[in-house]
Amino acid sequence: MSTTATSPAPTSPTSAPRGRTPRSDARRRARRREAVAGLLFVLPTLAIFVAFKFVPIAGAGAMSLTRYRLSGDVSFVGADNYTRLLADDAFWASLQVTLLYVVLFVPLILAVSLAAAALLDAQVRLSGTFRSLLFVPYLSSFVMAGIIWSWIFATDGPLNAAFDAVGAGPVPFLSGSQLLVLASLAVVSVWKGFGYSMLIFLAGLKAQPADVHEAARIDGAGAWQRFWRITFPMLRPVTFFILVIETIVGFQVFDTIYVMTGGGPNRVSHSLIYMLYDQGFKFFDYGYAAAVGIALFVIVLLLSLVQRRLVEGKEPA
Amino acid sequence: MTAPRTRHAIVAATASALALAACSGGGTGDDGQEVTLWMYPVIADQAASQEFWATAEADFEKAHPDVDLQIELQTFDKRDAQVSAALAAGSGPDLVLITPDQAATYQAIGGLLPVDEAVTDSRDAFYPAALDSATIGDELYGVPIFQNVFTTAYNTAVFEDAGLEPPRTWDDLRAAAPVLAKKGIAVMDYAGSPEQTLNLSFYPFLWQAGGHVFTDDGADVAFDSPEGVEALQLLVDLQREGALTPDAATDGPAVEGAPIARGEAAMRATTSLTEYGQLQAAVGDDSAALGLPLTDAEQVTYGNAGLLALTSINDESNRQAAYDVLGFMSTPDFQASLNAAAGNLPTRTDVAVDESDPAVASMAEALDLAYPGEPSPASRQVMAALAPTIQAALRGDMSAEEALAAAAEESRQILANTQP
Repeated sequence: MSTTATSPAPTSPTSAPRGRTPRSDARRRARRREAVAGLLFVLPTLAIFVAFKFVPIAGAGAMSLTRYRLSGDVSFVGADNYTRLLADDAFWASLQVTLLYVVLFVPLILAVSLAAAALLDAQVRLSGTFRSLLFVPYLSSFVMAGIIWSWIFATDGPLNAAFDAVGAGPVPFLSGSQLLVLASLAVVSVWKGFGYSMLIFLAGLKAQPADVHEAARIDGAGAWQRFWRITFPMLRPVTFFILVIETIVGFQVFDTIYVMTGGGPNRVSHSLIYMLYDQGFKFFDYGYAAAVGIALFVIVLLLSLVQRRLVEGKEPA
Repeated sequence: MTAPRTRHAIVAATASALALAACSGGGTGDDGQEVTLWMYPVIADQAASQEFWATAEADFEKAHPDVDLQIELQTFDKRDAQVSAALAAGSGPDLVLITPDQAATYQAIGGLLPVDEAVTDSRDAFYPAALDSATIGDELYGVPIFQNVFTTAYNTAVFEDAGLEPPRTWDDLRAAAPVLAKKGIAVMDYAGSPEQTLNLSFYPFLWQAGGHVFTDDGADVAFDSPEGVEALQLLVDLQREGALTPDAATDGPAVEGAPIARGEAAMRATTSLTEYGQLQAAVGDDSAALGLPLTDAEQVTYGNAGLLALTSINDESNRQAAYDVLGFMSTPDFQASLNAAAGNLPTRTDVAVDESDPAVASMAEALDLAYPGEPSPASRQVMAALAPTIQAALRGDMSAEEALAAAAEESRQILANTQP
């Protein structure tokens, strides 16, 4: 066996720095061109994001440091709005409402959308029809869903009529304890929103290699074992994405509450976004409303980072 | 202070971020001859409303060919949010229909301009009370173009079946409550939803008890008085004995599909003419009747003028055009046609009420007992503090006294924060 020594390509010390060759320069230029082309491609989207996302966020941050009147008078008040926020019992109560709602809503929507996706993945006949049908609630408006579910949950509504028939009613779904009211609202939001997460889970399931499942089946693993030991772990990136998205959706709950309970009864469903709405658009206290918005932004950001750390920490090596 | 242009850019951007109920405003033209007006469903029938306001727009432009009037029909839903977001962004209506308590709030935050000059020649023709409800300081902040009143409405068949007369006083109400409750019927409905204005739910009872929301100088709240406790205790007692509808603490004001329409509630304390029409449709003309407001220490109900207000968006270049619109919509002919289409009442003494319609005649009678509310820059905030604690009392979470005391404490903090 012989080896052939290959001499390095001749380089001119004056034409190129040490270690750089015309080929690597060309590659670098090509990469730079690709980067510029890529930047140009994303530039329109980036511009839209900057104009309609980042600038308003920065604007809200700036406004949270002011007292603003509709007449255009603005006075800088420093951190006064935040100091007031921290001392405001209503803020802490709304934060508690929001956290409790998120705790009820997020696991429920994950479970329902994953279960629906798993059923659709297993279903062969008419799966397209079922997929479309299950997605229909997502296309309906929150207001319409709220009105329909208000009727369903009413003391004299059909659900309580069914409970009455078995001697269990009436259940005060929208006027009872905080847990019951928020759980009822979470059910409506899950009904309305699970179609989106279901489709993402379904895409994740369809992308899983069949041979892994086949090997597990040959090895004697049951359906339940295959789901928990193979399917679900392989869905971790998808699950994380949905977890983050639905957590944000949970923190931003408004329309369902607005239509169904108006933040009541006795503020048991007065979420942070509802507080922001009240302060900004009922009381015209824009600076304070902006402070609520920024506080919510920070909370969601921190929570998303924690979620990411937790999920990444469990990623298989 | 920030430079005005930068300031407006920040404000406009932030308003977009905050605008949960985004809206599109009409804006005004550079030529100073375009006026945008936001109108709300004062005419309940949508098709009739569209036709009426399209005709009004055409008639005005025929009389004022140099002005382009844009009447944009909005919904009552999230009205404050919509108007305030538009004003904050500087892109919205020159004229907007509001209530007197909204006028007080918008004026306090610099959102309205005075309109005295629009009615210089016709001022004496208005009912003084209608103008008073729009007067803040010495200036008029809205031209009253119609009046609404909300009075009692009964399902007379329910009372007849129970051998009862329709209640006229609180004592009558208390006497009828247990009789009807035994039959599984609520003597009265009540809209306790926090999104419902207290002007149409709790405040009429407060005023009937002889109480007030604010002190005379507006510097403090007064609803935590013995009269306030008496008013709330009445509702709590009725709820406890099953004499209010089961979901009274969270119900909205709807008639259609509600217990009152199904014969499960026997009366409403505050009903508009439109709602009365819905009640007639639900229970039959023979079983529906209007009455005068309930009586305790006082016989009083809520009635408000619809104010066409000039917003701070309007500038001097089209100020006169906006005044022309205000003048046009407060003429006797226009008021008469609006009253006929919407079933509301005039604000001018020289416009006749259509007494041939018994319902309109009843409303006109109740108008003499109507109170226009207690306009205050903090009225909406105080409602937001009070409504949840009323719910708490109705649910039995707090006593009437505790509920009003808690709301009063929060309201005093609100008043402190809203001081200029």
